[in-house]
Amino acid sequence: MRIPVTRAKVQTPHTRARRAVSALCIFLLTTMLLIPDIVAGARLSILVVTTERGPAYEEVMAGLRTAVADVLDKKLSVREISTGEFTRAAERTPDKNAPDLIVTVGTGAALAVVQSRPAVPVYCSFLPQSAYAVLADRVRGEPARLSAIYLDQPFARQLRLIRLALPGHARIGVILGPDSRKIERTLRSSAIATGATLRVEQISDEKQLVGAIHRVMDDTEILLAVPDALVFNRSTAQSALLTTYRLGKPVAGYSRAYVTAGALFAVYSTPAQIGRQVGEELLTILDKPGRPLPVPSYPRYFSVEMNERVARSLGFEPGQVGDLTRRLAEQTTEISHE
Amino acid sequence: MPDFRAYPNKIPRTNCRRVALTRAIGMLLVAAASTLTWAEEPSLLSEQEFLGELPVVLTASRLAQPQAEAPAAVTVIDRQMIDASGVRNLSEVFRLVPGFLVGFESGHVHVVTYHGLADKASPRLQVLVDGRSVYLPSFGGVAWSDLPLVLDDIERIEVIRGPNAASYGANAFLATINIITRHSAADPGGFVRASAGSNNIRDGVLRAAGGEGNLHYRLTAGYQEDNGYAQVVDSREIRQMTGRVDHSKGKNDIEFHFGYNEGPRGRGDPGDPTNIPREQEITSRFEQLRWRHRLDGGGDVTLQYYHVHHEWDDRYQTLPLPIPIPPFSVIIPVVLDVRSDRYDVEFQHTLSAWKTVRMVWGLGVRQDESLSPTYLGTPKGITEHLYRLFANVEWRATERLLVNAGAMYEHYDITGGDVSPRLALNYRLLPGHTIRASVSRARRQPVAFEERSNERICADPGCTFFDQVYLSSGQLRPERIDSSEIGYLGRLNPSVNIDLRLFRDQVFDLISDFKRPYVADLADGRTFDFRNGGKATLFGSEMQFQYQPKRETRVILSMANTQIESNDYDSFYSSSGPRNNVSLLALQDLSPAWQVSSAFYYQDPMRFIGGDPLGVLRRLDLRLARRFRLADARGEAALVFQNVLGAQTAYSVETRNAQVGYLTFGLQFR
Repeated sequence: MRIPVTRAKVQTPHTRARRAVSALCIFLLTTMLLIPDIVAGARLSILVVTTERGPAYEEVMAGLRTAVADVLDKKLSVREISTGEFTRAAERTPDKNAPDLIVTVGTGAALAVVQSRPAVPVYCSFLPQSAYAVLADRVRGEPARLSAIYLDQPFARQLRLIRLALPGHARIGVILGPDSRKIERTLRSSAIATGATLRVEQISDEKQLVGAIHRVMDDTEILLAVPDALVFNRSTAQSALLTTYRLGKPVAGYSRAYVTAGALFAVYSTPAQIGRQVGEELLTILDKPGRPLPVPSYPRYFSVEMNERVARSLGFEPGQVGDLTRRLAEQTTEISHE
Repeated sequence: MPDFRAYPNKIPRTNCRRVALTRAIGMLLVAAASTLTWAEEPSLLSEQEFLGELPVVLTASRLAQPQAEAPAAVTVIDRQMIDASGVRNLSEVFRLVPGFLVGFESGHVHVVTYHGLADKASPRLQVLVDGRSVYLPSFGGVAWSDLPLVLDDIERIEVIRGPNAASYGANAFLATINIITRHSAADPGGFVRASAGSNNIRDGVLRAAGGEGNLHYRLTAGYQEDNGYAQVVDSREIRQMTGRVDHSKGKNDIEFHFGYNEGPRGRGDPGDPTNIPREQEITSRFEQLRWRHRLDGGGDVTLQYYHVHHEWDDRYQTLPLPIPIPPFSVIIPVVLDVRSDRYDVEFQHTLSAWKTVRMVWGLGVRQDESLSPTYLGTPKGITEHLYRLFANVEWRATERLLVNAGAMYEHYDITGGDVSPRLALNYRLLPGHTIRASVSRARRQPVAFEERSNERICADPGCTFFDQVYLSSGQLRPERIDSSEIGYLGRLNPSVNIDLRLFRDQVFDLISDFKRPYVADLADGRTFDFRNGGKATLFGSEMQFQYQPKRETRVILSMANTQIESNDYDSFYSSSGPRNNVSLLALQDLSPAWQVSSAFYYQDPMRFIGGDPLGVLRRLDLRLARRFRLADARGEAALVFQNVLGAQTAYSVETRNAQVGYLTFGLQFR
C-alpha cells in the first residue's frame, strides 16, 4: 500500500519500482513509529485533514510547518489528507494507520472527522466558533477528546477595535439571526467587559435584514457584522453594506473581503496565522505529559485592515491601521476563553 | 447519537434566490457545501464565510464627502436636534444654523434666509427635499407651510452655507437647504402622534410603513392647525399625505415619492375693503421618481424626474368701494389664483476617474409654468425652460490637499446662458484640523412675477378704469453673487467640534421693485416695476461649536457676526440682517426615560425687507420629554414651552410670537 507522506513526494516522478520501494519504506517506517507511540516522549504522529485542497489550506499548512520546523520529523510527524480522502479511507479501513491526534482544518473537515468518531483526540482549527459549538454539542459525553482554534475573532477584540477606532462613545449595532442568536449572552458580557454600548436586534429571516439595519442604526454609530448562515453572510453583504452606506454609517466587518467590499475595517486572522497557532499548540502538547489538548481558543494572531477610501469618506484619518493593530494587541491579553 | 442527516440541507437553499451579482458566490458556497460529506447541518458556518471574496459595493465615489472635505461650510441638523428644539414648523429649525434668520410674515408665511436680503418671499435660497427643488417659480422662495412633508419623516437636513450654484444651479444663491427624508425601511410598523396646546394647536400624524426584502413603503398622513397670530388673519389648517416606495434589485435602486398638502389659509386685512379677511385654498402636490444604477468598478448613474405643483385658489369680492361720483360705490370681484408647476429631468454620472480623482457630471432640463391672470395679466400660462450642464471634480492633489473644482452652465429662456464656477482648496493641517479656502459665483434667475408682472385691478367689467399695480418692463438680468471664504474645521478632541467661517459676498444686480409713472393708470398714474439696481456686500464671521462629552449630553452653539453694506435706499438691504445672532441648543438625558432640552436664540436689531424694524430678540424654548414602553410599542410624551421669556416680534408689529405651550404624544408600533 502506498501512503503519501506529503503531496510533493507523490507528485515527484519516479520509476514504478522506485516508487514501490519508497512507498514500502515509508509504510514500514510509519508502522514502526506508530507502535511505540504510546511511550511518553515518543514521536507524535499527526494527521491533518483539510476541508479541501486550495491556497487557503496550503497557507494554514505552511504556517503550521514553519511553527514546528525545529521538531518536524524528529518529534513530530505530519500527514495531510483532504476530507474526501479521509472519508474514503475511513470507509475502507477504519482503524488502520491511526495517528495520535487528528488536526482538522475547516468546518467540513471537522464535521467529517468528528462524525467518524475516531478513537484519537481531534483538534479542530480554522472553523467558526459557532460551527465548533454545534459539533462539540453533538459529541458531548463521548470519550473522544475535542478542542479547537477558532477562525473568528473574540467579540471583546472586535469591540475593542471599534472603541479604539471610533473614540468617544460610539454605540454599536448588532443584528443576530437564528444561528448567531445563541451568542447574544457572550456578546453582551464582552460588551460589559470592554465598556461598549450595544444595541442588538434579532431577526429570523434575511428578508428582515434591511429593516433591521435601519432600526438598529437609528441610535448607533457603527454596525458590527456577526456572521450568520441564514441572515448575515456573504450573500447578504451587498445589501447590508448598501443600506448602511445610505445611512452614512460604517460597518465593522469580519473578514478582509468585507473591507475590500466597503466595510470600514475588520480584525481577522489569516490562514497562515491560524496555522502558526496550531503549530505552536502542537509543540506545547508535545511537551506535556499525557499530551492533553488545550482548551478551545480564539486566534492568538490577527491582522487589522481598514478601507482607506471609506475611512476618508466617513471623516476618519486614514493611516492609523498600524497604530490600531499595535494598540489592539496591547489590550489583548484575555483572548483564550470566552 | 443524533442523526446528522435529519436536517434539511439549507445551505444551498439560501443561495437559490440570490441576485445575479452574488450567483458566483452562491455557486462557491454550494461547491463548498458539496465537499462536506456530512453537509446536512442546518446552519453551520464554514471558513468560506471568512475567506471568499465579496462583491465590491462601496467605493468612495459613491460616498458623500465628509464635512472636512466638502468645498463649502455645511451644517447638519439631525433628528435629535429637530426633536430637542421642540419646533412644530420645519422653517423654525433653521434658527439653529449659524447666520440663519427666521421670520413669520404671518402664521403660514415663513421667511427663512441666510444673513439677510429677504422679503416675505425670500427668493435667494434654494431648498431641496430629497433632491427635488421646492422653490416656487411664480414668486420665488418656498411656501414652507405648503410643503407636503411631516417633521417626523425627516432623517436629517444639510445646510450648505454660501453659494452653491456649481452643484445645485440657479438660486443656490445665499445658501442651499437639503432635506433628506427617512428611508421607507427605517420605521416599519405604525406610528401615531397627537399634539394639543394653546392657541388652538391641534396636530396629528399617522404613519404606516412596511415591506420586506428589497421593497419597502411608507405612507404618512399629517394634520396641523392653529390660530396663527392674534392680530393677523392667518389661521391655517394643513392636511397632507406623503408616500415613499424604495425598491432595490441588484445594482439598481428605485425611489418613488409622492405627496400633497391642502387646506385653508387665512388671509386679508380687516381694515382694507379691497383685501377682506377670507380663506385661501392651497393645493400643493408632487411626484418624484429616481433610478440609480451602480456601475462596476465604482460610480453610479442616476436619472431623476419630478413634478411639483402649487396652487393658491383665492377669489372674493371687495366691500363696496366709493368712487369719485357719490353716492355710488362699486364692488369689484378679485381673482388672485396662482398656479405654478415645475417639471425637472436630470441625469447624473458619478465616477472615479483615477485613484486621486472623483468626478460627478450631469445634465438636466427644467420647465417652469406659471399661471396667474391677475398678477401676470394673461389667462395663459407662462412657460420658461432652463437647461443645465454641470461637472464637479475632486482631486486629492497630495495626502493633505484636496481640490474641488466645479462649474454649472445654465441656459434660461429669460436671461440666456451663464456659467457658475467654484474652486475650493481643503488642506489638512493636522489630523482633525482642516482649513478651507474657496471662491465661487452663483446666480439667481428672475422669477415669473419679476420678469412678467402685469397686475391691474379693474373698476369696471371692460377694464376701462383700472389701477395698474405692477407692470414689468422685463429684460431683467440674473442677480449675481461672488463669494470668497476661509473656513476651519476642527475636531479638538472626540467630543468637541468646531466650524469657523470668514466670508465676503458681493452681490450685484439685485432685483427690486420701484415705482414709475404710468399714465394709463387712473388711480395714481404710477405703477410698480422691477429692475436690477441693488448692490450689496456681506461680510463677517460665523462659528458653530458642538460639545458632546457623552451620549446623554449635547450642546450646540451657533454664532454669526454679519455686516451688510449697500447703495440701498432707506437701508433696504443693509438693515435686512442683524449684526449678531446666536443660537444655543442644549440637551440632556436625565435618565433613560427623561430628557430635557432648551433652545435659546439671540438676534440683534434688524428689519426684513418690507417688514417692521425689529428690536433685540431673545427667545427661549424648553422641552421636557419622557420615553416609555407600552406593550410592544415605544412611546414619547413631551411638553414644550415656546417664548418663555415673553412675546417677541417676528416680522412686523402684528406678528408677535406669543408664549405657547403644547403637549405631544407619539407612539411607534412594531
